[in-house]
Amino acid sequence: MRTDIGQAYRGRKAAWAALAAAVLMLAATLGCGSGESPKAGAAAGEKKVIVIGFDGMDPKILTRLMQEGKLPNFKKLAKEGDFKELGTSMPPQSPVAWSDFITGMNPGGHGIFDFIHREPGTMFPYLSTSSAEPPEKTVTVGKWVIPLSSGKVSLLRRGKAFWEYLTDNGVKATVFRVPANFPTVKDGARQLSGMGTPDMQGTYGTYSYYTDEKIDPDRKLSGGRAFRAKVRANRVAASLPGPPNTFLKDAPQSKVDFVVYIDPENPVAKIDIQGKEIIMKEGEWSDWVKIDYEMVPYLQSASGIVRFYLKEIRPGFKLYVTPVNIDPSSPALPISSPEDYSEDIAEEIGLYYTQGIPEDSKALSEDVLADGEFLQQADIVFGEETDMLELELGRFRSGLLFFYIGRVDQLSHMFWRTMDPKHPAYESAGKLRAVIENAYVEMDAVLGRVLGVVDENTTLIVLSDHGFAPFYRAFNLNSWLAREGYVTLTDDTESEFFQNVDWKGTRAYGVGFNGLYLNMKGREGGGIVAEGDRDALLEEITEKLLAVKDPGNGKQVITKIYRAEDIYSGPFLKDAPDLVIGYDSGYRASWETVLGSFPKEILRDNKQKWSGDHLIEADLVPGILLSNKKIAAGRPTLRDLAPTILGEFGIEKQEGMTGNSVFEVGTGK
Amino acid sequence: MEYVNSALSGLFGVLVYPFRGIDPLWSLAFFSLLIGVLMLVIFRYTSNQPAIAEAKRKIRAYVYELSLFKDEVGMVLSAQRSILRENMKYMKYAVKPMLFMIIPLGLILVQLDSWYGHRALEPGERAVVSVTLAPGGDVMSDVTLETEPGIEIETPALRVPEQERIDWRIRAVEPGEHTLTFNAEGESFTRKVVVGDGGITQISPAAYTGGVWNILMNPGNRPIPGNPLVEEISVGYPGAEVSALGFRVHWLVIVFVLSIVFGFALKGLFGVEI
Repeated sequence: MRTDIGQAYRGRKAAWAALAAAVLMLAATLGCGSGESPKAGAAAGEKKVIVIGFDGMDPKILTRLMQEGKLPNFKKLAKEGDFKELGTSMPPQSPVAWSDFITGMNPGGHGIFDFIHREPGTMFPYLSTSSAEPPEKTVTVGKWVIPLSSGKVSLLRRGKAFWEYLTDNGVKATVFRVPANFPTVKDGARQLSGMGTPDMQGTYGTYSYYTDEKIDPDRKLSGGRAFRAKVRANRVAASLPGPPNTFLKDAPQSKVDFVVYIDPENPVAKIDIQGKEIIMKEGEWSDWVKIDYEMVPYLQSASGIVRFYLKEIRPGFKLYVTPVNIDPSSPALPISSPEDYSEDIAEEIGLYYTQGIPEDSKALSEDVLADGEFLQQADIVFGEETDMLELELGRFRSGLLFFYIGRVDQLSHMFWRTMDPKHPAYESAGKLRAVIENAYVEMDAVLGRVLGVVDENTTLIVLSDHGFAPFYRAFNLNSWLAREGYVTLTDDTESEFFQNVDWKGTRAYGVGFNGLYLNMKGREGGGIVAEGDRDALLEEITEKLLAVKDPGNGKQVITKIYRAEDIYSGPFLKDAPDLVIGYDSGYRASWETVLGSFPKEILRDNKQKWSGDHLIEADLVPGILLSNKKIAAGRPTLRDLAPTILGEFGIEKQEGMTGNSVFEVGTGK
Repeated sequence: MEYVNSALSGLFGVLVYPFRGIDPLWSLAFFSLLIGVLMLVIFRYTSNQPAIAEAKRKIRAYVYELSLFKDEVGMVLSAQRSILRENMKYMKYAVKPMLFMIIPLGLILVQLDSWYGHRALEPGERAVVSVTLAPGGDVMSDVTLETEPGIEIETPALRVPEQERIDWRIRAVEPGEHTLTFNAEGESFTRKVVVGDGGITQISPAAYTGGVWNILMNPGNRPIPGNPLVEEISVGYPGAEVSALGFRVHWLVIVFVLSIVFGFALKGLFGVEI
């Protein structure tokens, strides 16, 4: 009897266990279904706002192409809704402009004044939108450095993003690749970071270039590194640099070895890297390849992704490798919120560029990529962007969808020279002449796709952060300051980062693209300008700068100069440059002066492929604003858009926001 | 070995057939159940069941002793020593059934890997096709590849003499089983490439001319008919993963977990002392 009961008990236990296993199976199967139900949040009448950000889209070019009938969707939207110029930020730089958009504040409120800020104690320049700090406590054992706390990556943009107010009020929000939003913050919105997101080396994008040509050791490639590749018996052995290994003393750069096998006759090669084999023809781009950088053997590694471009096999060997992007399927840094959002996208569309500005303009500027090759690369980026847009439009049911595309901006920077005969780098370039125009036509197709999902509950807003202008001549602000006696140099070298500046004899200096700072006592590390002398000195410099004429054509180089206190307000005004320089169309700060270098010439022709720009006087490069609703504001600005979007969901404008809804009469500047 | 593979592949093909259109998790659960039962049966009839039961009873008793005399160091140490001893005995009793399980379980796992380890190419997807030549041959320049319309060859041959290997990149165009034909010195060899639509398909990436182990480990391919020119032909099929509870995991993890769950769940039913 006892045995029977025991058997019965065991039988029941077995049955329950089997049932539990079956339930587990069912749950696992159901768990395979990804994402939310199509019905989620899809109640009829729910408000939807779609905002499309076309970085760098210029109102003059847009208007001309609409008039020529090349942009039917923009024309339709402008006709049925509205189209106005959109006042940009001061200065009109993307991180500043998009921060204005995100917060509804001016730079005094959000703290982003330029691409580049300086550390006032040392005057050392740094990228303005994010910072990375190593672990505070570590223990060193032999060559190994063991962290006792985690490092920190911080977003330096201050002020609350408008979508946080949306999610606080129960409105769903998806914010796709908006600049100045790395690292993303957990605030209830789905976000993928955009411009400002570094690559795995912690830079804004460092490509690798392997060639058997002799490399000039003195030539420093901007935005990349060149490596000598020796072809021996149709084989090239090389290493791909990765992130610094902070688990080792002095954080040496990690690397992964790879081998390229070249066919003895055919124009084809095989890259063998970490057990993955990629066969490529000459002139082909590979798919994304995952690379694992081992930091601590068997314990810690960091995953990145690259694409290879086999530029040439014979007679020379040339291989370009994209910057090592953060792997979205296993991100080493917080590129999305929630954390698995980047992985979710990768599962749907495959791997994709995660670095902030994916178009490799530096490789084009350095002739590592030719025009056509750069365009191929930009097309890959655009293909990924359209896939992402398709994905998000397909699952957008309610709330906010913001989507950013940087193609027009990047192509306008790099191909202005092909359509402007006055440009010093003008080339009668045939088909390339239409590159920028084609980009607008492509954006029209994007807009057409978006219009396809716009219904009576949807407010559509299309904007750009600034317009565009030619970049003919580069102005060396720091060289000018030195010539005028505001900077004292210890030698006449052109070294970067103010290395040859005698701060005890320096009253003013330029950092970033539009910023001029005084060397103030109590603020700068070696400050010499007393507070009481500030006004007079600023006035003197302003007067002299406005009088600068281009000796080539007698034109005024700078049309407007603003004092920070006149244009900014908010808690971060103290961090602002003392003067914001507004260059005339055709002029811009030189690349050298931005990082504290002192070239000999004050003005020089810009013969580089980076030939269009917008880092000038803000009134000269307004952006665009289109909507399917009438825009009541007379002169809307970027800072009006945060209150506008909140208003569409019935949420009041928030404290610190300086603009007003563009749909309300009597608003705008 | 080829006949063993053929017979097992046929059997597994029949077993998989009802599950072809549904989530692979269900068929893996089914195979896990079979494996669990098989392990129980083998364990039941090849192990010393009374001895195992006794070892377990003693371990329980000594654990109880530990809790009863936890303040007496001598007793505790003695009990721990006894637990260790009985554990070693228990493991010794498990060795024999384990040895009996190795071969059938190994064959099953090789089969399962051929069904769940890789997936068919999807239309538009690329893969590397490789031919490894027999050492010492001098036909590298003469090997050519032809395909049927469902597959496109995207690159010319990439010859790597130091590896005796020739690679091509192919692209899947249409679903179906497509034949690759390799020609060398007047002879032809063929390999099937599977372009699928997401269902469960038996796939082994490599085919060999010989070697028992090579043939055993690739049950989805028939050996290449004996030829002095070629050693191996492989197609770089992507690895497959199975979704479970929102995670993508290797099939082996699922089978490992579920077969243990089923084994323990059913041990009472089969009257097995584990």
